[in-house]
Amino acid sequence: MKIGLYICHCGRNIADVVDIKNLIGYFKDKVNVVRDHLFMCSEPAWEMIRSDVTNKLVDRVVIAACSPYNHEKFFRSALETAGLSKYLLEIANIREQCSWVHGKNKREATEKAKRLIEAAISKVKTLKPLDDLRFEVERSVLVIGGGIAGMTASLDLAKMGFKVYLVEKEPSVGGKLIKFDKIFPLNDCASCVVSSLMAEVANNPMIELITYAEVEEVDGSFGNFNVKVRKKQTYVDWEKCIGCGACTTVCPPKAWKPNEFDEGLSKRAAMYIVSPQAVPKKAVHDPELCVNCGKKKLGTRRFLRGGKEYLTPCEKACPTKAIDRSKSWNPEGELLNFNVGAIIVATGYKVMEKETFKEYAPHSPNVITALQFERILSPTGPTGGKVLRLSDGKKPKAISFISCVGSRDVRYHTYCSKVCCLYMLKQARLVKEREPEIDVYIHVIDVRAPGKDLEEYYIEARRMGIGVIRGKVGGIEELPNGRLRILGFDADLGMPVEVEVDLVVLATAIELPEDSKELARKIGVAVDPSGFLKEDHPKLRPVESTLSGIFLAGCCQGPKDVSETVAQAKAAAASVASLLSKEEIKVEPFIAKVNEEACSGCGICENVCPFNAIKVNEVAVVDERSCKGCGICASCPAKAIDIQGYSAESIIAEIDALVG
Amino acid sequence: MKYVVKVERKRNLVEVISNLGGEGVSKCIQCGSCMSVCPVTLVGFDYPNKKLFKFVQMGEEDPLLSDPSPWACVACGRCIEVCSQDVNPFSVYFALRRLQVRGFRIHPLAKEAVGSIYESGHAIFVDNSEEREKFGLPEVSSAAKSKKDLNEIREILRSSDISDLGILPR
Repeated sequence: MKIGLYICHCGRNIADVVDIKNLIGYFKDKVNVVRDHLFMCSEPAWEMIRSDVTNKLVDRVVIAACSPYNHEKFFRSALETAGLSKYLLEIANIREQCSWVHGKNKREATEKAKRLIEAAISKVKTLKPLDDLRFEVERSVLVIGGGIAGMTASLDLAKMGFKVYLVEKEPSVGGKLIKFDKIFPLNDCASCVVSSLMAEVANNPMIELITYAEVEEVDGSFGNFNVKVRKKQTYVDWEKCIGCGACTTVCPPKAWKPNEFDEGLSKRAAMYIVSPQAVPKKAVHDPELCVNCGKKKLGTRRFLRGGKEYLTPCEKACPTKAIDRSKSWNPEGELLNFNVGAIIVATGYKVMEKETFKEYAPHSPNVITALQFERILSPTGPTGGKVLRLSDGKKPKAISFISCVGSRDVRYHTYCSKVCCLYMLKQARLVKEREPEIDVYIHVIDVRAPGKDLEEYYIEARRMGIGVIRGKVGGIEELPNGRLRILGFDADLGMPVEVEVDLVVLATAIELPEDSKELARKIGVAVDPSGFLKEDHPKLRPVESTLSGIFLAGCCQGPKDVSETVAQAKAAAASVASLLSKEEIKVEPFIAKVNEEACSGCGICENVCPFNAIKVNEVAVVDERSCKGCGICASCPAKAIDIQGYSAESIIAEIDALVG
Repeated sequence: MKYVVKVERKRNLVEVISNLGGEGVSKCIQCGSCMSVCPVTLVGFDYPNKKLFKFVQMGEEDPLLSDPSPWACVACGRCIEVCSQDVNPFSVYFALRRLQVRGFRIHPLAKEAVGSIYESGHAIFVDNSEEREKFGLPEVSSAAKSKKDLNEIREILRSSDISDLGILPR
């Protein structure tokens, strides 16, 4: 066994703290080859390692550098191209775990580096050559979420020839964007951007569009996930429904509730079609809202009245007999089951409700969220796009926009929601364009408009006479006449400012919806401290989740504008395609291995496995596809199970070197 | 101290100031670069240039009429050099002087300056001809030394709107 040790300076990252010369002297006689390099991740260094292996100077490699998370795969390729098993490699992390955290104590950092390297040497001695696992690939993809991100990714994949299952929890695709009026920076109509995509996903033969459905369970792993999707009960025969909306108009006002599509600014009935642009344009029945006005409960047998079959108002209104209350509909809906090779999560965002912010007079109907104002500006919204306040239907004389409501605030979210500045400017500009005599004020901590055309968009807004007041608003008082007094601060003048307005729009923070967190838990994707889904690496693997085979697109990964969302969706689609276009996929072999001779068949492993990946049939058998290598089963009382690459022997050797 | 934006009662001050020669005021983004070099700021006025521009943008007329700082401007032109938004703060400042004069709000500083122009042909005139002679430097021509020029300046002042203000020496 010939061990080579390669020590990286990482520019000055490591070398400024850890005494590399000291390390070289210390390990000179303990291994066969010791070399150092300014940048071990550079091509010449890679070539240096490769030629040492090729020339049979070393057959085990220890690299003392940064976290294996960064470049382990790169170093493995040096071994592989030299004809050695790429898993005969161990990395001692002397950057993140040493120089970066012990910068103030160079001597001790150097001593710790020695220990970490000794542990890696001890471990590498115990490693055995391993080969990648190879699996067949299911050439289909599950996309969760039918907003702009999910639709874009689905269409890109469909165009590349992959079968796509697009699952949307609402009855229609379109996401948040279809609710908007216009979008910055071109002020082009959101509907024009998104409507054609909605039609395309519904009509592309490679896309199976499953709306009003939620992912219930995901099993298996990259290359072959088994997916269970619950198609919710619509109580309307969608085969027959033509989306005419006749049923929605006969539902009595008693069966109305705040309309989700209008963010609660209008009402919808128990029979409803999500929006005028819904795709598929099909009616849905909401049994919780239904007041049974026709006195015919769901599942009541057909009966005659006056010699004719009795029909409820909705049944009567339907020209195609798509509504049938005598049918016994299953409230559980339908469970669909299919296999996919990869998953793209594109579940989007929600905005915080105004009720959280007591200082901003949330009880006033004239304090609304920006998403609600978006509906007021929209031609399909409650005012048909006219700038009116809904409490009295009057045109406001003055409107104030308040930013950073729940964002950049340690009490709620420390992050910046990123798009608020620009959508406030957009909404303010749309108001000014339609009603120039309305005074518009924007209260901001500062205006954030980085990127192409965006600063220009902001400057133009100022020139249009929109009052930008730098300083976060401390409170809003509701006056007896219903007007609202903004208690603001003007940092430009260094003094408080009060503005009396008729309508206040709050730019509440963007966050991950609770049901998306639930989904993340279900499929095993990590959520980061910001509360959004975690990408595997912010720079190098920005669309990959922490779980291989599951990708992220759009605002579920963090706040984004439309351009960024589309770019990310396209990147996710391309990443999926690059993996699924191969005949087979290679997976790291770090999974459980059973020593059949030692196994007593007790079954403890089967009970503790969180992935149902181990079954006892006389002896324990591991399902290679499902095993994630978590190691829980390696607590076997008979010591019959080991994780390949992380055997008990390896780990004990490592610990001995660390504490010895 | 605070200010209250009165939505109903205001006139469009951006338009007013633009018509008085301060067209750039709508472009001001309150970055503060003009303030960083302005002598008016350095000597400690409360609301020098860009702060007054903010009042213009917010439609607040009272502070614009009462603030003395526009009269302290020495027309050094540094603000024009450093402005990243092509506001020409100097022109806006002078438009603010015009706004005050048209509102018959004339600061004592203004009275002093106009009086000095009437008397000497200069807002600020320092007669250093004795020193120049001592160093053998040539005499500098000045309106203050030419009866003809000075009369011409006085005639201009008398025939302009300024004469209506009653601040010219009799």
